[in-house]
Amino acid sequence: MFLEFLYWFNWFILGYFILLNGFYFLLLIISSFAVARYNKEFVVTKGVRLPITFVKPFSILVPAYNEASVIVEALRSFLSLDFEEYEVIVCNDGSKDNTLQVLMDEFALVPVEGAIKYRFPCKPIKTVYFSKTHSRLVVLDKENGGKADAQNAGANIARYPYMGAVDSDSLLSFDSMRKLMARFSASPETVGVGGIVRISNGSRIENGHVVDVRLPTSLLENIQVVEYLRAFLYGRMGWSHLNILMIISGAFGVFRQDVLARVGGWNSKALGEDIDVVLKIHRLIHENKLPMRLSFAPDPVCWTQAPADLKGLGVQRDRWQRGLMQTLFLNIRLFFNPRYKQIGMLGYPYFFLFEMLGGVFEFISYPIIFACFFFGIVNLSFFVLFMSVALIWGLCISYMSVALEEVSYRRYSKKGDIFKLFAAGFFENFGYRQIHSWWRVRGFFKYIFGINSGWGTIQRAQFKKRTVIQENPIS
Amino acid sequence: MHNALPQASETLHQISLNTLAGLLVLLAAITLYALLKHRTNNRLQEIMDRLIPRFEGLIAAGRAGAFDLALIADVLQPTHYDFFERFLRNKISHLEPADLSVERRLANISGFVSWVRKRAQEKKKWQQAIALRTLTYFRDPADIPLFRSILDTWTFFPCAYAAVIGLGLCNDTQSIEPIICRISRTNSPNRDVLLTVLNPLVKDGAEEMHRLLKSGKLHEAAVCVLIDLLREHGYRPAHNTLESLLEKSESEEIRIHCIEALSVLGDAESVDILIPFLVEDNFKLRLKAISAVARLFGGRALPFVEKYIRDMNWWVKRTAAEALYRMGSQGQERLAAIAAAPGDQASMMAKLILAEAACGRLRGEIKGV
Repeated sequence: MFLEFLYWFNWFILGYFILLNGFYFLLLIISSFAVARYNKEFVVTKGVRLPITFVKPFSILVPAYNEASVIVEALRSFLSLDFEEYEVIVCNDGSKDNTLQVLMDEFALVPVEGAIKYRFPCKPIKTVYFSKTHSRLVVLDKENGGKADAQNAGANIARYPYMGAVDSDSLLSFDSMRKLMARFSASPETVGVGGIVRISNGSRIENGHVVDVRLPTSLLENIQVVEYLRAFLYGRMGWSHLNILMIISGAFGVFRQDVLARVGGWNSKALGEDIDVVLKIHRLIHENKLPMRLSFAPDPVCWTQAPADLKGLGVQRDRWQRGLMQTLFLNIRLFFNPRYKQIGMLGYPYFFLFEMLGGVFEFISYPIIFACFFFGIVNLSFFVLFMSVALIWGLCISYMSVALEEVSYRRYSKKGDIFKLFAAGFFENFGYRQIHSWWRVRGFFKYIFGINSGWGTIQRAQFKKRTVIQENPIS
Repeated sequence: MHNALPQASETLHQISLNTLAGLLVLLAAITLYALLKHRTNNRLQEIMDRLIPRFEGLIAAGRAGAFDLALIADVLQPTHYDFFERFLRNKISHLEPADLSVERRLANISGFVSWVRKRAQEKKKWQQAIALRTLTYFRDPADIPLFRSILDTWTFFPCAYAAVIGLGLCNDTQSIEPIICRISRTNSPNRDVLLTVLNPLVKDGAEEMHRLLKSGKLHEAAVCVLIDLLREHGYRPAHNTLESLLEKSESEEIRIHCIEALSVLGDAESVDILIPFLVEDNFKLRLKAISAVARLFGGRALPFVEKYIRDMNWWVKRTAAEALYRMGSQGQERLAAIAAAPGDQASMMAKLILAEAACGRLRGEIKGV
C-alpha cells in the first residue's frame, strides 16, 4: 500500500513538474517579447512626458511600525519627488520605538483637528499632525492594527482621489510617481497601477534617492536580487502582457480612492493585503461588469530593503506564504470561474496550484525520494537525470531574468555584476532553495493549523547617508 | 519541485535525456547571450563616453557660429550615426520649447538627417517608428509632409505616435483635426497622447480646437482633452461653447470638465448656469460647481457656498470649506466663526482647512476628484 502510494506520488510529482514548467516556459517566451517591445517603446517615447498639469494628484500612505531607524531617509525620498501636487501621510501604527518622536523632532509637527473622514475601517486615530516645515507631510498616530489598518487610517485623512501605499523601508525614484500617475491620465478606466520593486541593499543613497546602483555584498542578498528580477521582469511582465495582474506590490502601488472604498479598503485581517485588494477589485470589476482595469508600469521603480539575514528572510517568506493562502481562500470563488475571465481561469488557478502549493510539494518530495531509494522504486540514473533537468531549467529561468535585465534596464551594468548575478542564481539551488521551501511549508502549516504569528519582526538596517530634506522646488 | 520521480522506463529515460540536452543548449545560449550583450553594452558605453565630448564640442562650436566642415565630417561620419542618434535621444528628445537650430543644421550638413529620413520611409515597423521619432527631435517643418502622410496611412501605432509628436513639435496647427481623429477612438482614447501632443499646439491652434469643440463630432475623450487644453491655456472665447456643452451634454465627464474649465474661463454670468449644479445628486458635479461659483463670484458666492460645509459628502464639505478660505478675508472670517462653533462636522472641517492654510498646505486648487 505504502509502496503503491510512493509510486503514484512520484507520477503525480512528475506531472506537476511538467505542468508547472510548461507555464514557466510560456511565461519565458511572453516576457521576452514583452521586454523586447518595452525596449523599442522606450526609445520612441523617450523624452515624451505628459505635462505635469494633466497628471492627477495623489496621496502616498506610509504605514510605519517601529521604523525609527529608516523613516526619515524614506521621507527624504517621498518628499522630493518630481511632482507638483501630492501629500505624504505617515501612519504611525502604535510603534513601540520612538518613531513618532523622531518625526516630531525632524519635521516640527503640530496637532490638528477634523482631518478624519472614517470612510475606511480602522483602529482609532489618536492624533493627526501637520508639519510646519514640510507642507506635504501629514503624520497620524493611531492604535496598533497592522499594516492594512494603518493604510486604511491614512486613506481616511487623504485629501486626494488617488492613493498609493509605499513601505517605510522603501525609497521612490525621483520620477517614479509621475510615470505611475501618467497611467491614470491615459485612461479613466485605469483604477490601479503597480510599479517595479527593486532591492536597494548595497546601493549608494543620497537625499533619499538611489544615486549609484550596486549589488549587495552578501550572497543571500544577491540571491534576493535575482528573485526580484524573476518576479518582476519575468513574472509580472509576462502576466501583465496577458492582461492578468494578480498582485500590485504592497510596497509600491496606487489605486483610485472611490474604487478602494467600494471594496472596503485594505483588509486589516489579511496578511497579504496587497493581493487581497487586487483580487477584490478584480471581483468588483467582473461581478458588476465595470469598465475598469488594473495595470502594471515597468518603468517606475521603488527601492526596498531586503532582509540581510536568514532569520529575517524566513519571517518574511513565512508571512508571504500565509498571506497568499489566506487571500486565495478568501477569494476562492475565482477558482476556475469563467465569470472572472482570464483572472479566474488562469491567474488564480496558477497562484493556487503553483505559487501556494509549489513549496509544499517541493518540500515533501525531499523525504519521499529517500523512501523511494530505500524501497527500490527509484532508479538512480533516472534520479540524477531528473534532478539535473530541474536544476538546469531553474538556472535557465534565473539566467533569462538576468539577461532580460541586461537588455532592458541595465541597472547592474558594472563590470562583474553579471557574474555575481549568475553566481547567485547558481548557488541558490544548493541550500537556499531547500530552506526557502521549508519557510513556505512552515507558513503553509501555520495557516492550516491557525497558528497566528502575525507579521513577525525583520531587523532593518539604517540607510547610509544623512542629508537635509528638501521638498521638490517645483511647487 | 524537483526530486521525486517514477520508475524510469526506457522511453521516459530517453525523453529526460533529450530534455536535459535541450536545456543545456538553452542555458548555454542564454548565458552566452547575456554575457555578449553585457560586453557589447559596456563597449558601446565606452564609445559613447568617448564621442559625447566631441559631439558636444561640435554643437558648442555651432552655437558660437563656427561650423568646421572638416571636423563635422570627421566626427559625424556614417559609422557614428548610431551614436549621434543615442546622443540626441538623451539631449534633445524632450518636448519643451528649445532652440535646436544648431543641432538641426549639424544633422543636415553631416548627412545624418538624410540617413534617418531614408530609414523613416522604410516599412520596417519599429525601425521606422524610431527613425520618425528621431526626426521629431529637430522640429524641422520640412518633415511635416512625411509626418502627415504617416498619420494618414498608419497601420502600426508607434509610427503614428512618432508622427503626431513630430506634427505637434513642428507646430502644425492644420493637423489638429487629423491628429485627434486618427489617434483617438472611443475604444482607445489615448488621452495622454492627445494631451501631450496637442499641448504645444494650443498657443497657435486654440481657435481650431475651439472650432472642433463646437462641431460636436468628437467623442467624449477627445472633447474632454480639448476642454482641458483650452482651460489650461486660458482661452476665454471658449466659454460660451462650454456653457452650451454643459447644458446639452449628458456625459458626466464632459460636464465635470466643462465646470472645471468655466471656473477659469467663465465670467460672473456663467454663475447662472453653474448654480443648478450646486444641488446635483452627483457629488462630483456638486463640488466642481461649488469651486467654480466661489472662484467666479468671489465673496458674493458666500451665501451659496457656505451651506455646503454641512453637506453629507466629505469631499463636498472640504471643497466648500476650502472655497470659503480662498474667497479672502470675508470667507476666512466666516470659516473661523464656523470653526469656533460647538464641535459639529462643519466646525471640524473648518478647523482642518484653517490648519492646512496655516501649514501652507493650500497652495493649489484641489484637482482631480
